[in-house]
Amino acid sequence: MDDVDTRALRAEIRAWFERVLPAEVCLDRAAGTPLTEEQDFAERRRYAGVLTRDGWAGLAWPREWGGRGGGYRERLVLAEEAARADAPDPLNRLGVDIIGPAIDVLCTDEQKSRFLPPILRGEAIWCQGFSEPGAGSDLSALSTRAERVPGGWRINGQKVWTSFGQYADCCVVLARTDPTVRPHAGISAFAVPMDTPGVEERPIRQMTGGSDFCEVFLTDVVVSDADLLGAEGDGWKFAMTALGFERSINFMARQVRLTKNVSDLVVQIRANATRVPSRAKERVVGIHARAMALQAVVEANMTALDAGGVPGVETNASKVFWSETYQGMTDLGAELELTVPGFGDGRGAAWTSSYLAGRATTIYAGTSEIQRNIIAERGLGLPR
Amino acid sequence: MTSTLAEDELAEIRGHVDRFFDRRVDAVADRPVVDRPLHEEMGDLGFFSQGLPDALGGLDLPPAAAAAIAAGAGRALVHGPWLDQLVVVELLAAVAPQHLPPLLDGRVLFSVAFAGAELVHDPVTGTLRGTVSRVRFGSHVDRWCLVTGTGTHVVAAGAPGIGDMVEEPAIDPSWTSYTVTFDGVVPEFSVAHGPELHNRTHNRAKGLLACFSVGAAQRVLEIAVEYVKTRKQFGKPVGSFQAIKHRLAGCYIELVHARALAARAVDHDDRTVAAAARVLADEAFRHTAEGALQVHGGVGFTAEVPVHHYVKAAQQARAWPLPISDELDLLRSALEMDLLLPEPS
Repeated sequence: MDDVDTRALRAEIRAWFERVLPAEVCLDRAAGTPLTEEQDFAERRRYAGVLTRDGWAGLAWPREWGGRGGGYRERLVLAEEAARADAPDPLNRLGVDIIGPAIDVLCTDEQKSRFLPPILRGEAIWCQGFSEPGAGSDLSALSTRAERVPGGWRINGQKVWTSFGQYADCCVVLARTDPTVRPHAGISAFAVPMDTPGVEERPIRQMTGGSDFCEVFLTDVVVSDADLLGAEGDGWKFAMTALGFERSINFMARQVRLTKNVSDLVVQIRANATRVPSRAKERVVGIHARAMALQAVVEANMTALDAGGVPGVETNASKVFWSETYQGMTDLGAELELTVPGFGDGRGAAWTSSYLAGRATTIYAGTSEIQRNIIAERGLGLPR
Repeated sequence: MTSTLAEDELAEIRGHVDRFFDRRVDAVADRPVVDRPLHEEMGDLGFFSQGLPDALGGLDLPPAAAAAIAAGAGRALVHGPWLDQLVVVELLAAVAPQHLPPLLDGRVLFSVAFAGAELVHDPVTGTLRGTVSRVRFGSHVDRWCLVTGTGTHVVAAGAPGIGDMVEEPAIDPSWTSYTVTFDGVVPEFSVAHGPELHNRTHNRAKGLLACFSVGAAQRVLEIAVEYVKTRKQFGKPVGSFQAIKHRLAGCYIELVHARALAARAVDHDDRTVAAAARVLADEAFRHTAEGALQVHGGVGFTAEVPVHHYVKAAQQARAWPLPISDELDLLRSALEMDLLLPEPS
């Protein structure tokens, strides 16, 4: 709920969305047709551009790096209004929400001044080179190696599930720099420009038909000492810091978006009230209750973070709860779209697409199984 | 809403409440239906008056304080009538504050029942006729507060004109309620009010019950966690096995979300939030109590550990103030009418 401080901000952001989205961002949204991948990409790039131009991208960034110095509550208002306006996913989201904040916490001033302003200006799209074919849930088992060479490091290995890899300008690559110590301690993080010789990305075709993520091959890729993010051996810390921001800031936006999606589903069910089976109405009631709970948790988490708290296992719990609720919602939407003629938002098979895309939500950013392990061990204190 | 509490102030209140119930309630023993000395102490500590404004002798604490009391009572599984007492205090503060004093020290115990058209108040004779179900605690309390859409009637338990009292089925022996026939009963007093106050009181009772359920779920989860850390099989604590971890982690996930919605329900007078809070609190409580029993193995099925109290309370909490299936119907009809998620405003 808004207090006085955020009410004015909300009004300002809402008016901005109403003015800017139709005029400058959502230019290809004709009724009855879903966007092509190219149109979607162009929309997201335009959106990132206007967010930066008008100062919203850095709402929660420190003033020092061109941000507005706002808090999590302000960021929540922006996310709620973006969901309300059905704004796209900005292309530089990973940089602004996850990697930039991690750089701000862990890197040198020289690195901050080199990397942060271009992220915020939308000039540098960043991606994460964390997972590998042999290191998914067990990330610390990664085998990409970085060896010292005069003035820098030579990296060899392979990354996978690198979201936006084909569009990115720079990648955070986790690589093993010391194979002699325990696995978590021997990993370092590097900023690797995607146009460095030896970097090759190959988009992976997904079950949705899209190609949002890539394999990235690193063959004798040489980077300088100045591209080591944080200290040698800080790679695990970088990854955990980034994942913490992912669960707190980045998932907040998706959780808020779920609220909007559930509202849309409710409206569509009401519009088809006589043709939607009553069992579907019973199901949507449960989904709706979960969306309300998620909204309450997200607001409480943001307030706690603003008060100086650190993201705890509540954010792991919300990630699981969000993803499972999302899947329940898209499962219902897809069923209705496939069985009730005319059901949907009139823009193609949106629920069916979301159903397919939604299968990834319980896998990425830590599977539900890994999240439950973390909750059990760190939240409940159960033995390993 | 009167004031807000900072997170550390709220944590202090929670700690205070939880320590009080820990000290006063034996976890393993059966709970009495109504523990009068406990309620007297609650009254002396200001639990019933804390939400009233200064002018009425209270501390002007926001609803979050009542939520903390409900969660603490849930941890200890004390059914009431503290909850009834809290909602009656709030109702009378709004329309008849002169009747408040006997409620505040916990010596006179009130239960609340919600009645519809089945209860008729004769304006000429001033008497009540009709049959009301879910009259909580029957003669174990002193007064029944019958809340209707047109007014509230406070009746002495055992007043002349009270006819049949049929005990309703219960799974939890410390929970009792009755279907009561009123055959020309003269209330001690009546206050007229509109349906808004009935609905607000109803919503508040649901919100507090959801907080109670979530507090109870939290406690039974702690009991389960303690047990699986110490119980060994195959040479290891059973809590190190992933099957156990995932079941209890799943309970925690439900609990975190049910708790946030229950807190919101107490803070907002909104019928869909209140209904949804009860639905999620009910699921979280049952799943956690049943999960706790399962991870205890055979001993969970005995009266030697307190888990069975929680299993029974979880099932029992589905009955009041509205059966849980009616909450789902309420949400469904809200959906069919005009329900939308509350817009960020």
